[in-house]
Amino acid sequence: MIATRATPRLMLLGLTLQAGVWMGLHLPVLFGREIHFNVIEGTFQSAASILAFALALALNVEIAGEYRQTPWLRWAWLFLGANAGLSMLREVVQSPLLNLVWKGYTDSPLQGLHQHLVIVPANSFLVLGLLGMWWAYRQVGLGFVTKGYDYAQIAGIVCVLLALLFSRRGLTQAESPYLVGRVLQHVGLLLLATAAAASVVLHRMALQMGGGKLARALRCLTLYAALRATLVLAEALLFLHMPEWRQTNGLLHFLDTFCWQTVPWLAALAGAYRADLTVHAQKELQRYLAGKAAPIAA
Amino acid sequence: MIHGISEQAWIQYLDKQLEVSERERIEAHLADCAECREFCKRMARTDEFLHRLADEHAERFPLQNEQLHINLAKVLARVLDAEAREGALSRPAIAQRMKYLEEILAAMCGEWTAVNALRVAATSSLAGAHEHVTQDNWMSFLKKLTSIASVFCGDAGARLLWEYGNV
Repeated sequence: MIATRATPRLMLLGLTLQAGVWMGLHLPVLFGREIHFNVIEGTFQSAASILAFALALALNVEIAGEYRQTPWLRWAWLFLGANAGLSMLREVVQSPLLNLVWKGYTDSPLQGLHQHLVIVPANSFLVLGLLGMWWAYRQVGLGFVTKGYDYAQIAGIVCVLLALLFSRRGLTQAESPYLVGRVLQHVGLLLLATAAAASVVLHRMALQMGGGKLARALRCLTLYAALRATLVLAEALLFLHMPEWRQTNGLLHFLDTFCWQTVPWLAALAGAYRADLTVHAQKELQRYLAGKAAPIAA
Repeated sequence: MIHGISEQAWIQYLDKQLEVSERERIEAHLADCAECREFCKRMARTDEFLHRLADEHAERFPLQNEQLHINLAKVLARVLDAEAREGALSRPAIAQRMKYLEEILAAMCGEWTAVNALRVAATSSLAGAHEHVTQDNWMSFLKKLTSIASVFCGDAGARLLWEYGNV
C-alpha cells in the first residue's frame, strides 16, 4: 500500500527539496550573475514535477479503490488520477529539454498545440473529479451551504475569464497558425475556470466540516485547482501589459516558475492527506480487532 | 475502543510502552476528557494492584510482565463487557456510544460533519430522530451512519465505525 509510505510529511519534504535545489540553481541568475544552469534546471524541474504527479496518480488510484460503495467518489478520484497522469505528459511536452532533440521546439507554435492537446483532457478530468466529489458530498444531505462570498468569488472568476476570452490578446495561442490550438486554449481556459469555481465550493465544504483529515485533503485540492487557475490568468494578464515579461522581469519570472513548481506537490499532498485518513482508519480498526481478540489468561 | 482509543492502546499507555506520538495523542485527549481521566485512574489502580499482587506472590506464582499484561487486558475486557451489558438498554449508554461514534468520525472528517452525519443517520433510520435512537433501532441507525461514513471516510472508515458500533 503506497499510502503508508507516501505520507503528507514526505510530500512536504519533496516540495521543500525541489524548491531548495531549484532556488540554489536559479538564485545566481536572479542576482544578475551570468551563470545559467538551464539544462540542469530544466531536467530537475521536469523530473521533480513528474515524480510528484506520479505519486498523486498512484495515491488517487489507491484512494478510488477505497470507495467500493460510493461510485461517484470512486470515479471522482479516478478522474483526479487521470488528471495527474496527463499532467505528467504535459511536463514532458513543455520541457525545454525537448530542444536538445528538436531544435527550437519550445519557440515553435507546435509546442503550444501539443501542450493544449494535453491540457484540455487534463482540465476536463480535473473538473469531473471536483464536481463528482462535490455532488457526492452534497447528495448525503448534511446541509452544506454555499455563501454569498463564494458566489462573489465565482462571479469574479467568470468576469476574468470572459475578459480574457473576448480580448484574446493575453492568450499565448492567439497568434498560433493552428486553429485547433486557438480553440483548445479557449476550451482549456473555460475548463480551468470551471475547476476554480468548483474548488471555491469545495473549499466552503472543507471549512464547514470543522477540521478532520478529509478537510485537509479538500483544502489541498482547492489550492491545486485555484493556484493553477490563478497562475494561468495572472500570466495572461501580464502578457497583456508586458508581452516580454518573462525576459524583462526576472523577479516575476522567478515567482511564476516557483509557484508552478508547487502545483504538482499540491496534487500529491491532497492525495496523501486523503490516503492518511484510510491509514488512520485501518490502524484504529486493527487495534480494535486485536484488543477484541486478545487472549485472556486464566 | 474508548473515545477513539483502543483497549490495546490504553493498556500500552498504562504500561508506558506506547510510541511517543500515540502517547501524546492519549495525553492530549486526557487533558480534555474527565471521563477518560477517571477511567485511566481506575485502570492504573488495577494495574498497580496486579503488580503488587505479583510482587507479593512472586515466589509462589512467578508472574512475568507479559502475564500481567494479559491479565490487565482481561480485566479491561470484563469492565467494558460489563459496561456494555449494563448499558445495553439504558438511554445514557446509547447516548454515550453515539458520542464515541461521533468522536471517531470527527477525527476523520471534522466535528460538523460528524454531528450532522449522526443527525441524518438517525432521521433516516427507523429511529426517526437523534433522541429516539434505542437498542431496538440501533442497527438501522448504525447501517445509515456507516453508509454516510463510507462517502466521507471510504470503506476503511465505514468499517471502523461499523465494528465499533456493532457491539
